[in-house]
Amino acid sequence: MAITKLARKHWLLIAFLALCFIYPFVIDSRYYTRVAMEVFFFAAMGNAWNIIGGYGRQTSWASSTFVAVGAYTSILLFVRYGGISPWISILPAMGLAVLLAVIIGLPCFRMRGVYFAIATIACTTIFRQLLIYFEGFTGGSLGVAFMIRRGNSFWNLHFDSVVPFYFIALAWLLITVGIVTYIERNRLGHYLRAICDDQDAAESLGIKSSRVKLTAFIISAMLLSLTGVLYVFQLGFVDPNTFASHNMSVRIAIVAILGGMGNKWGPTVGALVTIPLLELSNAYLQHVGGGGAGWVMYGLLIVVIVLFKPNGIISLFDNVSFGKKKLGGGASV
Amino acid sequence: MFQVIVNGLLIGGVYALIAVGLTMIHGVMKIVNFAQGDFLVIGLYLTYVYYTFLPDGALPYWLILPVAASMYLIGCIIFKASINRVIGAGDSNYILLTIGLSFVIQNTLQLVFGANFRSVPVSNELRFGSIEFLGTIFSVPRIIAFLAAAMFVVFVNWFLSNTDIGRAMRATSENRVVAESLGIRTSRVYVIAFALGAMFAGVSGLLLSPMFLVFPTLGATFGMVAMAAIVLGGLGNIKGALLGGLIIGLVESFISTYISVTLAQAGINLALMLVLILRPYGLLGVKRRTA
Repeated sequence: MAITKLARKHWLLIAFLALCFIYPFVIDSRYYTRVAMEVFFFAAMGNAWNIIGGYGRQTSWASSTFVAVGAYTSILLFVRYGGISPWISILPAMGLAVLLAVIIGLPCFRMRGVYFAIATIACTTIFRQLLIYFEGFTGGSLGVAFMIRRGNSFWNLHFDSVVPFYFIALAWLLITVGIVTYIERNRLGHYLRAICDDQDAAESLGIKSSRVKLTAFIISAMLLSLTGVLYVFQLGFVDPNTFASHNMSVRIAIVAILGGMGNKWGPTVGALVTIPLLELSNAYLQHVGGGGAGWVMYGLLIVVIVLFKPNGIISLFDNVSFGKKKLGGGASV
Repeated sequence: MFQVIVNGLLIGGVYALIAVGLTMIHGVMKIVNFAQGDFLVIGLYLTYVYYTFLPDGALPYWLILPVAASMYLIGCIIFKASINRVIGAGDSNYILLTIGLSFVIQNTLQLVFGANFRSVPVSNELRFGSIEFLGTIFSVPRIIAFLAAAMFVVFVNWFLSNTDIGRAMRATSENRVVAESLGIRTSRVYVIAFALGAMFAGVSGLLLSPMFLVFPTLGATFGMVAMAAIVLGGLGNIKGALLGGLIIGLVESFISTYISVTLAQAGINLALMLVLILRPYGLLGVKRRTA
C-alpha cells in the first residue's frame, strides 16, 4: 500500500529513472550515451550552483573555478605523482575548493546584486590567468592530458566504454539531488530562502547572512570540485579554456536558471534542454558559420526564458506533481 | 618608464570611452549591460563592412557618422525588443538577459562573417604610424583614439548638463517616479540612453579598428575591462568611468611590461577586487544605503 502510494506520488521520477537505466542499452551509440552523460554532469553542477545561486539568489559566476580546482588537482596528482587514484584525490580537491571558496566568498559576500556578480567574475579571471601563468606546473594554456590509458579500472576511473561513466554520472546526479533536497528541508535552506526574500529582515531576525551564504557557497564549491574530478577523468584532459573559463561558469549557471532556480529538479530539466541543444547543434551544424548556429539558439533560449518564463522551464510543469510543492519562485534579487 | 605610462594612458582613454557608454546606461536605468563588449565588436564589423565602400587607404574615421547612426539604431531595436521588459525587475534578470544577448550577438556575427580573424585594411602609414617626442614613441592610431575618446567624454558631459534630453536623463537617473510626475517621458529617456550607450561602444570599435584584428569573441575582454572601469570609478558616474578607464589602462600597461602579459587581466581584476573591498562604491562613488 505504502509503495503504491509512493509510486503514484513520484511516477514521473520513477519513469525518468527507468528511462535513464535502459537508455544506453536501447540507444547503443557511444555518441548519444556521451551526450546523456554530459547532461548528468551539467545537471549535477547546476545542482551545486543552485544551492547558492538558486536558493540564496547569489548569482555566482565563479563555478568554473571550483570545477577547475577539482579537475586540475586530480589530474595533476595522477599524472605527476605516479597515478594517485581519483578517489583519493577527491579529498585534496574538495579541501582546496573549500579554501578557495572562503578566499573568494569572504570579500564577495560583502557585496550585493551586480557588484557580487562582477566580483565573482573578477575572481574567476584571476584564477584562470594564474593557471595559465604557472605553466611549469599546470601546463599553461595547453593544459594537461593523460598518457594513453588502457583497460577498465574503477580505481583509476578509466573505462574503454562510455557506459560505466554514464552510470557514475547518473549516480552522482542523484546524490547531488539528494544533498539539495536535504539542504532544502533543513535549517540552511530556510535561512537561504529568508535571505533571498529579504536580507535585511532576515538579519534583523538574527540570521548571520554572510555566514549562511558562505556555508552554502562552500558546499556548492565542494560539489563542483568533485564533479570536476569525475568530469576530467572522463574527458581525459584539462585546460583553462574548457574548465576555468567564464563560458563554463555561464553554462553551469544557465542550466539551473533555465530549468528553474531554487527548485531541486530545475537544473536537471535545464540540462536536459540546453546540453543536447548545444551538443547536437555542434555535431550537425558545425559547418554552418563555424559552429555559431547552436550558440545563437542557446542565447535566444536564454533571452526568451528570461523575458517570458523567469521562473524557468520547470514552471511550465507547475500543475504536475513532483512530490513537493513549488519552492522559491519570484525572480527578485 | 615614461613610455609605459603613455601607452597605458592612451589605451586607457579608449577603455574610458567604452566605460562611459556602459555607465550612462547604468546611471539612467540601473542596468549593467554585459553585452557592451559585443556592441563594440558590432561597431568593428560595421567599420569593416562600410570600409569597403571607401577608396583604398582612406582613413576609417570618415565612417564615424554612419557607424554611430547604425549603432544608435541597433541599440534602439535591442532595447525595444528585450531590455525594456526587465528594467526594475531585479539584478539577476538583466544580467542573464544581457549575457544571453551577448551569446546571440557573438554567434550571429560568427554566422555572418565566420570565426576567422579579419582586419580593416587601413593604410600602413596609419596602422604603424608613430610620432617620437621627448624620447617617447606615440602610436598615431592610439593618439587619435585617445583624443576622440576625450572629445566624446567632454561632449557627453556637456550633453548631460546643457540639453533638455540630457537633463531629463539626469532627472530620470535620480528618481524615476518624480521625473515621470514632472512630465518627463522616462520610457523615451531609457531608449535614448541605451542607444547612446550602444553608440559609444560602436564608436570605440571604430577607433580601435586600425589597432586590432576583428573576430566575433573579441568583445569579452573589452566588456570585462569596461565593467571593471565603471565599478572602479563608481557606478553611474561619468568622471568615475573616465578615471577607471585610465587606471585600468595604466595597470595593464605596467603589468604587461614588468611582469607578464598573461597576468595583465589578473592584475586588472585584482585592482577591481581591492577597490570593491576597500571602497565598495568605487573611487568617485557616493555611499548609498544598501537596504
